[in-house]
Amino acid sequence: MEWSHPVGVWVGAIGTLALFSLIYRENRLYRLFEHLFIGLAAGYTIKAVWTETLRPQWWVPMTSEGRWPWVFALFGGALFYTIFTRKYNWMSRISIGALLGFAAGQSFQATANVYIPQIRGSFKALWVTRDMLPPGSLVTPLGQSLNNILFVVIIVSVMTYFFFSFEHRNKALMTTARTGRLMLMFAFGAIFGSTVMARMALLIDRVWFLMNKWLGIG
Amino acid sequence: MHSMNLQRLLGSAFPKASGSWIWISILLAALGCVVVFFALQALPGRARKFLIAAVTFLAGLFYAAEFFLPVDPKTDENFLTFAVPTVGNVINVLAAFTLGLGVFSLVRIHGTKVVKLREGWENSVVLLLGIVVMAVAGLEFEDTRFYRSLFRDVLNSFDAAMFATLAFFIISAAYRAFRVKSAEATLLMFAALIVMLGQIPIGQYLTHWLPEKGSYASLFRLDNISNWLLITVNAPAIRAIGFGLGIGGLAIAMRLWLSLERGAFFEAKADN
Amino acid sequence: MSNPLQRLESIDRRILYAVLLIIVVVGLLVPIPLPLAVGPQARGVYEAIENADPGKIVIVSTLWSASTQGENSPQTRVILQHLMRKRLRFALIAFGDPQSTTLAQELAEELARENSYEYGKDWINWGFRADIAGTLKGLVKDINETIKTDSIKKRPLSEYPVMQGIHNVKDVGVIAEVSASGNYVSWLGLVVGSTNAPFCYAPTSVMAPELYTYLDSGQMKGMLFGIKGAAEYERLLGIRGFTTRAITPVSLSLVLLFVLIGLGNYGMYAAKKRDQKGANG
Repeated sequence: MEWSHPVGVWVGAIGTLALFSLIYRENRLYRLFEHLFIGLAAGYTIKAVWTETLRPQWWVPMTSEGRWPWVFALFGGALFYTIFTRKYNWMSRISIGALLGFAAGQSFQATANVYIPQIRGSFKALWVTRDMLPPGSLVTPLGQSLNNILFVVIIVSVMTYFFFSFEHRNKALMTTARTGRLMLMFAFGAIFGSTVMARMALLIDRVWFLMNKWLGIG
Repeated sequence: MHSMNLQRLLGSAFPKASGSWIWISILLAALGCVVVFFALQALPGRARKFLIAAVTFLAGLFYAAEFFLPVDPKTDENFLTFAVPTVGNVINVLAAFTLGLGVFSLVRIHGTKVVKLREGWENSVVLLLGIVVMAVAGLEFEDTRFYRSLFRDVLNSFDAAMFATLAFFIISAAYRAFRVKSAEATLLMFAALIVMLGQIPIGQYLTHWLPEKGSYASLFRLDNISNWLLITVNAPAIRAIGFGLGIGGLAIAMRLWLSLERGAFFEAKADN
Repeated sequence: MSNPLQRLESIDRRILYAVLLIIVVVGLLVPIPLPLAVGPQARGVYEAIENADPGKIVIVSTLWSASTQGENSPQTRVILQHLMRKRLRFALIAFGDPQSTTLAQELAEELARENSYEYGKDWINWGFRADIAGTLKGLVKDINETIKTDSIKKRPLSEYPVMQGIHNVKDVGVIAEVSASGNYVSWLGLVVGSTNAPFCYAPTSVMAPELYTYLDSGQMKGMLFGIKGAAEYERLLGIRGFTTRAITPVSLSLVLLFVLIGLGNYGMYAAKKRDQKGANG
């Protein structure tokens, strides 16, 4: 079955233009379509939560497979909603606490698995010989040594920049921290450039929708 | 062995029901929940705080113990591992219930706005209609072209358009704010320029006549310079930030787990 | 009266918007045939799929909505195209935003028709999960028990031929996530250490620079750098899809950005010079 219909495309295109009108100035048409968008998104959340999670993972096991203890999950879930009442809102903290606890418990494994390879990978050989290079590598041992030295220097200098346990008065420490600050600027520059690229891709997608799917150009 | 015992114990404590016993069991369990609800409300303030801390701790203890306790080398499991999928499903269901909080809040705020005919109530009507139409179409008419088009052509278009407007703002902001006034700003701009030029075809075209690899001249190709900068300069800087984030994240996790965290949520009184 | 060069510092924003829009439209209509070098990151994803064990299943995890479909949709598309070309069986799973599961399913259905891929036999949709960490921990232990039913027909996973011999993440050949969020931490922290399956990531461009550290440590085997990564992958697959067309306006808009930054700085420099001249007499 098709995922698209000409009427839907027209509504989508008009809505896209109305939402784009914000870049000129705030207006009533923008507000209207903004509210429609939020409404549709909230409606979709209801649909998706029920059909994707609650029905298959909670309702069906409870009512069709005889796993009645799932009713306690409803109790846990309902406690979240006590947040909207003055008298019972403390109870929402039981369920919120459970979710926070689960997340905290998982963080031990997650932190170890994410950062131990990172720490291990930071101890790079500062003097690389030819037999240490992967087969087929086009980098010279000297080039790789310089790369590794630079890599380690940057890690140390950026970590020094973030080291706030005592004041940076020592000149060597100040220079290292300053180097770290400059390297951070470099990383942020790379992230900034990529952010622009990402935003452009989103605009291109919309313009292509209007041109191709709506107006049939291209 | 231990895991089998625990599994059996849980199985006998909560036996599977069949036939009409399913609904009877559900009803009885629901009644039990109602009793627990009022029993909880009868607790004094200190006991409530203790209960919240205990639930938080026990929830965290499950995954912490499952990770730290030694495993049977034959099965690679310990006595808690069998429960991991079920506990994961419980969290999943609980998390799904939380998604409704936002919708509930929206309906409450905009419903009030419509009933009291406050300014902008017309927009609130559209919002509430949007919720109803999408939810009904999705739940009752999922396999129709109407629902599919409503999702793909309308909702997706609006969502994508909202974010696409950022492209205009970022161009304008970069033009106005990106002034070279210090060494840091210069480096930031230089990095953005070189990295991006090396990533896009127009930038790559400027040095495309140089060999791609296998020669010292290839080091001067913009795509190779960009890649080298990302791997050798950007990666260690990000890694160093990551180390700080990792330690900080673990510290916060410990404070949450042991209910040592301070702030509005954790210090709120529980004796309404 | 300020001279025209100084006015470069304060061009009306509506003029900037109009120029940007014109550049995007022209770029889409007249793609410039320029070379695009395929980086080692995209090659890493390609090789991971190319060398995947056909006896195992590939997990394609998605965490994106229409808001980032400009980048994430082409990324998902090229990965699925490659999987189908290699005749590898795969499972879709979605986190974070429920739109993700439907959008990925739509792409898979479209490509499955073109590649004669049968649902349930060659691919399956495990659906959306509200909680990431708990689900991933469950997948490590038991996929059937964690996922239970598929998203389309709502039948137990064990009934599908595509799931035959698949019990936990040890039976997974490649894990590829297309994401608009930092979900890689969960995959790296809770799954990657428990399986030999290479982990590949396809983030939006915003996130890409921060992931090079994981490529360096070998925790990630490859990465698709936003829309550019998808365009590189199209080159590797030898196809000319939407990203090959879209990379021209991406390039042009970035050039516009650099020109505008240059003009703004030149305007600032000219204004400073004028002020200095005024102060000197």
